[in-house]
Amino acid sequence: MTPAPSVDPAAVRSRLGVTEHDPLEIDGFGISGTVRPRDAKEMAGTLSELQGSGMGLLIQGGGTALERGNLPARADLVLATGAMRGIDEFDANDGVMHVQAGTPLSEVEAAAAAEGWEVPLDPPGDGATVGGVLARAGTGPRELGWGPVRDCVLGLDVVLPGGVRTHCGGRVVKNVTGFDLAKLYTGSLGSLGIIDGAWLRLKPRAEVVQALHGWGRDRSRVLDGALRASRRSTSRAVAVASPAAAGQIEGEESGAWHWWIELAGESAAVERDANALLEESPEAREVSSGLHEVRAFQGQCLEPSGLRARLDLVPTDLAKVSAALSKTAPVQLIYPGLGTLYAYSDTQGVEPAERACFDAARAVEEGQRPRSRVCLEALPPGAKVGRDIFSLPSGERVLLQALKQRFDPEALLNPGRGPGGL
Amino acid sequence: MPALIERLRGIVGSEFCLATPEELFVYECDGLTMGPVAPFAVVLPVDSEQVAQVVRACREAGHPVVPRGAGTGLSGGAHPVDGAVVVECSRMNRILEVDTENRLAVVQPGVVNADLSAAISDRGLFYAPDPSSQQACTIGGNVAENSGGPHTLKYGTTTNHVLGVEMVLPDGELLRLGSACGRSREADLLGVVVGSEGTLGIVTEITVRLTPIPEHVETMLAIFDSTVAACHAVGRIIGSGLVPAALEIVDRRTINAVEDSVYAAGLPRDAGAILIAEVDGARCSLDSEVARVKACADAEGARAVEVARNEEERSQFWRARKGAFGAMGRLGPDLYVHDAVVPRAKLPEVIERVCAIGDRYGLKLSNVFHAGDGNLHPNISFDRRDSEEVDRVMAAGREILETCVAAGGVITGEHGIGVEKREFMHLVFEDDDLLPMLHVRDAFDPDRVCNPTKIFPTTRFCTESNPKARGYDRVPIE
Repeated sequence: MTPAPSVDPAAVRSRLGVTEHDPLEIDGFGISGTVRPRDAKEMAGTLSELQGSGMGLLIQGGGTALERGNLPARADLVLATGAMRGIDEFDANDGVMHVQAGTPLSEVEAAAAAEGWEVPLDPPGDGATVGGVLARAGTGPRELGWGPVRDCVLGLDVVLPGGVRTHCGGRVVKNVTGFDLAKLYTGSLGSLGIIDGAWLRLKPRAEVVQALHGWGRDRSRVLDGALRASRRSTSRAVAVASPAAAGQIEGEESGAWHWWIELAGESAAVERDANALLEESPEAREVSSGLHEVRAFQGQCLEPSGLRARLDLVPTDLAKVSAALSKTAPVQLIYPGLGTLYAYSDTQGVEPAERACFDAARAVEEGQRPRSRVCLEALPPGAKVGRDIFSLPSGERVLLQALKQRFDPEALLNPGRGPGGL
Repeated sequence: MPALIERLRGIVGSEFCLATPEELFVYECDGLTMGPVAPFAVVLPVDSEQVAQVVRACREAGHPVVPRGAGTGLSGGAHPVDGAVVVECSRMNRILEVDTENRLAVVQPGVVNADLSAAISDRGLFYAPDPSSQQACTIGGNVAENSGGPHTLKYGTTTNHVLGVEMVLPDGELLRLGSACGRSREADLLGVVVGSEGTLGIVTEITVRLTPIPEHVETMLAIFDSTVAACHAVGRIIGSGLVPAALEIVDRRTINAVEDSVYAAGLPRDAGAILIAEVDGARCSLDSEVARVKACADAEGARAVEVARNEEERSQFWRARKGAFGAMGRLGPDLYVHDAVVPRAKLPEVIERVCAIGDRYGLKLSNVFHAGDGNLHPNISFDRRDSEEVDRVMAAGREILETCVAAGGVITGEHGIGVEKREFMHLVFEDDDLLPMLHVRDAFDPDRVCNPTKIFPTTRFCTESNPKARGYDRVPIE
C-alpha cells in the first residue's frame, strides 16, 4: 500500500522546476508537468526530492512507446531523459561504448557505423532513445542475428527511487561479479530504477548486407521455408506477413503470404545463402529495403482502438497458432526463427481477439512445461483497466511484486506499469 | 540421531543421506580447497519434489542448504557453511527431452556438460558453453556460475543458452522462469538467477538452447616471442571486425609444464607464448578469416602461424590449452587460479603488470587465458603447507585483482565470487551498488536459507543486510 504523502506535491513541483504544459495524454492520464534532468546527478536529486510526495512518475525517452505497459496506478509528472544525451566513451577497437540514456539510438548507430561497428538493437520505428529501448527491451526481426536486447548490455547506471546512484555490470564482455542486475532492469520499464547510462557491446559491421523478398499462397509452406531460411548462417532477419498484413506493408493485397530475409556477413557466405534461397524460390527478388517497412509495421496498431498482441512460441507451433487466429486476427507478422507472432485486430474489439490469442496459445501447450506466452503489447487505454497485459504466471508476479516493494516502496516510478504490476 | 537427519532419510532414502564424518569429508570444499567446512549432512535427491521437500525440511529445522553440482567450482560456491545441508544433484542426471526441430533440450541439473553435447551430436547440434571442466561439471553448476569457456567469444556464456528453468525457492515452492519459447523480455528474473551461485534457490530443471554444429572449423596456432606480443595480436584481430570462435593464450611457463607432462603437444619450449585461434562457420568464408588472423599475427611478429590440416592436428593444438591446468601439478602441489577480466585493449599492459607482480613476490605464476574476452587466468603454483608462501600468494592475488580493476576490469569472468572473492566485491562495487543485489536476495530468500554467506562481503554490509541483525545502526568494518 502506498503511504500517504508526507510532503506537499505543489511545493515539490516548484522546487523541481517542473515545466508546466498542456496535458500530455498517456494511457488516459493527462499529465501537465515534465521535469528534464540534464545529468544523472540532477536525476538523482529529482528522485530524492520526490520521496514522500506520493506522486507517480512516468518516464519518457524518445516518446515512441509511451503506451507500453499496464495502466499506470497514477501519473502526476513526466521525467524526460532527452537532455541526458551523449556518447561518453567509445572504444572503437574493442567495440564497446558508454552512452547516456537520453541519446537517440540513431546518433549512437551513426557513431558506431563511422568506426565499422553496428549497434545490435532493432526496435520498431524510429526516434527511440537508448534508455527507452533498453527499458522496454524494444526489439525487431534482427534479434535473429543480433540476439535479444539484454545481450547488448554490458553494464548499466541506474538511479534508484530516493536518488541513490548505482552501477551494475561493467565495460567488459564477460562478467559474473555479483548478480546480473542489467538483465533485470532491461525490459522492466523503469519501474525498479531509471537507467541513466549504459555500456553497450557492439557488433562488427557486416561486410555485405543483402535483402530478399518473396511470396507464396500456402501458409505452412511459406512458414517452413522461412524457418529453414532463418537457419542459414548469414540470416540476420526473417519476417513473414499474412496476406492482410502484406497488403498494408506493400500497399496492395495480393492474397499471398510475403516473406523478407536479410542476410549479413562475409561476402562469399552471403552470396552462397542468397543463391540458395533464390534457387528455392524462383519468384523472389533482391530488394533494397523490405525490412524497414516491416519494422515500422510491427510497432503500430491498426487503429487507436485496436489490439496488438505478441505471442512467443516455439517455431514449430507458429503455423498452427497462425491458422487458429486467421479469423479473429488475420493481420499477422511472424518472425519464424524467433518463434514470435504479432497479431493485430481492429474493428472486432479487444475481447474476442484477446480470447482468441490465449486460446490459440493454450492449444499448443502439452504437459507441465509451458511453450507459449502472450503479451498484449498495445491496447486502447480503456481496455487496460483490470488487465495485466503481460499475463505472467502467479509465481513470477509475486516475486516481481516483492522486488517492487523493496526497490520502490513508495511506488514512485511508473507505478503499476511494469510486468506483475511493477 | 538428529531429527533432521531422520527426516531427510525419509525423503531421499537412507543410502542417499550422508551424515558420517567419512562420508562428509569429500564435501567439505569444492575446487577451491582452502577453508574447508564440514557440512551437517549431504543429500542426493533424485527429482524436483525431493529437492523441494529437503529445502522445506531444512528451513523448518533452521539449517541452510548449499546446492552442489560436480564440485568443480573454483571460488568456493559449493563450500558448506556451518550447519548446512549440501544438496548434491548428481543423481538428477537425465536428459528429459531433446527437440531437434526447435533446437532445445530439457535436462536435469546433474547432467554433465560434455555428455549433453555428446548425446545430441548425431542430430547436428551441440550445447555451446564449454568450460574447461566440461568433462565433469554439470549444467546445474554452469547455471549457478554462468559458466563460460574458450568459445564464449563467439557463442556467449551460459546465460545466452538458458531458455527456462524450474527451481525450488528457499521457501520450498517450485517456480518456473522462462520456457521453451524463451525468456521473458520484460524483467528477466531468469537472467538474475543465472549466475546467482545458488543463493536464490536450487535449479531442478533447465531448458537449454542447442546450437547447430558449425559447418567447418579452422584452428590455428601462432607462436610469439612474448605474451605481450600475443595480446597485441588479439587486439588486432578483434579490432579488425572478426569474431573468432576462440582466442586462447598460453605462456612459456605453462608451455613447459605441459611439455613435461602427459599432455605434451610438441610445442616450442622457447616460445614466449602461443595463441590458439579458431574460426568456424560457412566453409566458403573461412579462408578469408584465416588469412585475416594470420595477417594480424604476422603484424605482431609471430614466429610462425600453423593451420591445423586435420582433426588430429586440431586436437594437438588444443591439448596444450586443455591440459594446462592438469599440468600445473608439476609446478606445485597447490594452485590458485585467478579469473579477472580486463578490456581487451588493456591486455598487453595488464599482463606485463601481472607477471611483474608474480616476480616481485617470488612466485611461480603462469598465464593461460581466454584472451578474446579479456578473461585472464593468472595461476599461482604453491604449497599450502608453507604458510609464508601462502601469505605471498594471497597478497599477490589481491594486487592482481586491484590491477585488473584499475584497468577498467572486474574480478571474475566465469568462476564466480563464492567465498573466495566476496571481500573483493568492494574493488568493483560501492555499498550503494550492492543494495539492489540485496533487494533481489531479500525478495527471493529473506531468511537466507540458500547458500548464505556467498557473494556478499562478510563485513559491515553483510551484517546489515541480514534480517536477523536488524536493529544495528552501524557495525564497524573489520
